[in-house]
Amino acid sequence: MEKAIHISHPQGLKYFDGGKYQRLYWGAEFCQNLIPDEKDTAKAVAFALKNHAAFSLMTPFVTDQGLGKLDRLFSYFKKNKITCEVIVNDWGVLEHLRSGFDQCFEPVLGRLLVRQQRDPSLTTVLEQQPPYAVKDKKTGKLSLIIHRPPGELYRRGMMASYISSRPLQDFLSGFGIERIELNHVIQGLYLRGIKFKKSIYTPFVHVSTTRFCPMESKVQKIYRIGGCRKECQRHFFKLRSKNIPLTLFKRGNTLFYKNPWGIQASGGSDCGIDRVVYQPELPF
Amino acid sequence: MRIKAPVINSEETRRLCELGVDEVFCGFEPSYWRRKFKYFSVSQRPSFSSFTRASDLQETINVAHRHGTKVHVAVNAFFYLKEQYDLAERIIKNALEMGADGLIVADAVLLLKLNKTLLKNTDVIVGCDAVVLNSAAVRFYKNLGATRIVLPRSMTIAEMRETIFHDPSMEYEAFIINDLCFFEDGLCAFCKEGSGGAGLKRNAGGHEKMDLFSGPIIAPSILMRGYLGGCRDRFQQQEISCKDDQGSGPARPFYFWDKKHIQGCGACALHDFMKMGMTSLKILDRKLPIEEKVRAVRFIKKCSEWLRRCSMDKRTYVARCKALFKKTFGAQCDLYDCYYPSVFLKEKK
Repeated sequence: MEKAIHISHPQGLKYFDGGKYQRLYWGAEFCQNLIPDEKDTAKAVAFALKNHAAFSLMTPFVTDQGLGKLDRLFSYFKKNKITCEVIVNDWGVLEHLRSGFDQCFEPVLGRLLVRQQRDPSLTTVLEQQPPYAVKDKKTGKLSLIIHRPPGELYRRGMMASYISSRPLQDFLSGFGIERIELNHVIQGLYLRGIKFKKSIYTPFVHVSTTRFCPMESKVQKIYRIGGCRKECQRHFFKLRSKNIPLTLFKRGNTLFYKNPWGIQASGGSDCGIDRVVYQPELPF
Repeated sequence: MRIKAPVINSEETRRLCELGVDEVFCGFEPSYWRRKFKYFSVSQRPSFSSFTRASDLQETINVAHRHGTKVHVAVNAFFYLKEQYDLAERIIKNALEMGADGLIVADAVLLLKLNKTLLKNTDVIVGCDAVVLNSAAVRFYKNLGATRIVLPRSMTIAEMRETIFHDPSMEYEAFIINDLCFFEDGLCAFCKEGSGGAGLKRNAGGHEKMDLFSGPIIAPSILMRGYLGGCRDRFQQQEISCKDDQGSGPARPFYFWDKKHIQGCGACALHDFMKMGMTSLKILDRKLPIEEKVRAVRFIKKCSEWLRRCSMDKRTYVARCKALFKKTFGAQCDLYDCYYPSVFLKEKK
């Protein structure tokens, strides 16, 4: 099993332990405002080289402006003849790589494009819940609502991904995709029939992302986009709700939950996963 | 610019067509789908938000076509399971044979699998769940056979303009009123994935029971406590410093949306949309009562007619639009509820 670590800023390189990790993931996964510049990226590449680690460039979903930023990074790699993996989280980025940088990189389908069921409440649906009493306001009569957990097909569907579709796999192969990336979702994984190599992220599972960065400032609440002060680099939030059995983490524009179970316990190794991407801190 | 409205029956279709909508959209979930895949929805919605009988859809298509209105059918689950694609294809084929003018899809695999001759002369609309935020993504879906892209509501006016500028040969659609959502549809695991909200119904014996048929994504105990779906839920939030992972202060109540973030309106952006060549304006929310749909259509129709009939500068248009909003909906429009606040950011500069 290959062990990789995802780091998105130069200070994070302190987490890299050369004896433990064989690969460095570098860059932002969820926000185009945080795409690293060429200078920091050059440092990260040099760091990986020095530590005999392979290098993967992480890319987020982007607008045309973000695509321009990525294009500059891709050109930097091409100019310096550095070949590496690019983790693609936007179909546009994949298309851009094919049209402008064919054969320069090894594209990997990122976890935003590998659709999985990631609702943190899902376990309350799949596992038997206690009956719940409801009182009729008019008659005072009590009714018991019984939870009937769904059957095998639903259970399996919640653990699957559309990537198991053969036409999609053939189509992606045309883009040079050989690896896909997955969330380590709490309900477990069902990945039969996927021909690609597979990576899994741990311990944070991506729940939801927005471009309306909810980090509290009034400008962000009203105008939502364009008010970035990079608060996500100073603090994050823990969110609890009586309706969601897991603590949520809000950092920048994205929500996560932490899967307390190890890869083995979720059946990950049975699914042919050959790389674990460790996130030493909440990704942003 | 065309106006597109949601319908769930032929009577709604008739009323909205009489108001002059150019396109309507609906779901189509025949009973054979639920018989086989009980808890999975065809289009991220419970069954009652879609046509379940072919004859009803046929009637709606007939009504719409009599008024010269197009019908687009949503077959737009985030993704389907391997064993579901054939049936999803059959639904599409049925709808097109009945005369539907287009499809709304979100899953790239479905586009890949669909027979291209089946889609000839059909509007193939890639929904906002596909998260098309840039011109390269437009190219990606165009290569798959898409003819129109629904631009996510999180895009700014400038971003939309740039994307359209790169390929004006494609059609583009923007959300215009209702259902303002906090998260990016295609990147969100709350409320839509699975099969939509569950509901209660009363059976013949007067006992309440869970209507799991419409979607079990929320367990009963949670539903009964008033779960509104992730981003509408009430949270306790605690700030944690990135430096030392320590919390600063006690947990406080937190909502992603303040209470007033319920509807959403982007009518002020019409002036910009017209200039940039937006094809269609989409009124959202299939589940809304017909009176609300009628109000929304009248409002957007009036706004677009102003722009079509007389040249009006943006400032004048926005002022008239806000006044009409107040008159129509009985409340001042609010920036918190604004779909495209970048309209005003640009004005500020």
